[in-house]
Amino acid sequence: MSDHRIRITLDEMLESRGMTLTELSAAVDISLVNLSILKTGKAKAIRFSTLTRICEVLDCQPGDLLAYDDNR
Amino acid sequence: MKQPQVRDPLGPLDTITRMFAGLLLTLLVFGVAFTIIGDDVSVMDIGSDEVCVTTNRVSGGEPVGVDKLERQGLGIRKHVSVVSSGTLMCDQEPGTKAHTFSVLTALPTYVVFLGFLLLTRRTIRHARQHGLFSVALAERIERLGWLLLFGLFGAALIEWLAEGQLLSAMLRDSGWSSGSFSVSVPGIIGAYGLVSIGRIMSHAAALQADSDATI
Repeated sequence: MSDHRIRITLDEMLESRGMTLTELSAAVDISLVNLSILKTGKAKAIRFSTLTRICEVLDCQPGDLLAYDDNR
Repeated sequence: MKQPQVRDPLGPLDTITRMFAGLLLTLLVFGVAFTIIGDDVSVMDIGSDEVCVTTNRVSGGEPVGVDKLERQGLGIRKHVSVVSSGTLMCDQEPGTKAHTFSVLTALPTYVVFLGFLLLTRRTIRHARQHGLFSVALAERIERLGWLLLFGLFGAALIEWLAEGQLLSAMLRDSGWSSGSFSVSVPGIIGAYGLVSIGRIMSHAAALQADSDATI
């Protein structure tokens, strides 16, 4: 079981921008496997460099990608 | 294009451990087999006609005469004392009990080392199959260290008791005789090293797992 309540909102961000995970993977140069881990909440941590690249491509702030989930 | 060959770092270690353990096992099996078949062959006193034990007891005798003889024989200079390290006593007509105690004065350490080698091989195979950095592997290494540590002490205790019993059986005043208690110091240091490495690795493996889960 996960020991944190941080939810990655990558799914919503991609949907609002009409982008697929494969397209994002090609644009940020991060493997599809790693992005899937991130999207499904299985990642334990995220590097600033990863956040920077995703934010550059999706034109968003880091806070737009993360949410504190109180209901978990 | 030719693919670069991926070298297995634990392959040679696995092979050497397998060969060493195989050699020890073969020696034991062949030794016992030859003991049963042959007349003059014995392994760790199994199948021997006599059983021997070394004691530090001084048998009385003539120390001056013995000293003179050793000085003449060894060419030792004056002012250098000669101390006999032990007396070898052999029972020419040992019973089953004496034979059993005689075997028990050597077999436990051999079994500990053989068991340690077999477990080492299992640990190496686990590392090859499941990766080098895992908490499970660290725990296996630590367990291996504890096993060696307690195994060596246990073996030394059994050998000490067996030697004592053997001595008692050979002496007229058959009260309690103490054998010599000797534990392999390099073995103990090695075991302590394994326990330490196992503990360090378990912390390192947790850090590695965190690092692996960082995107």
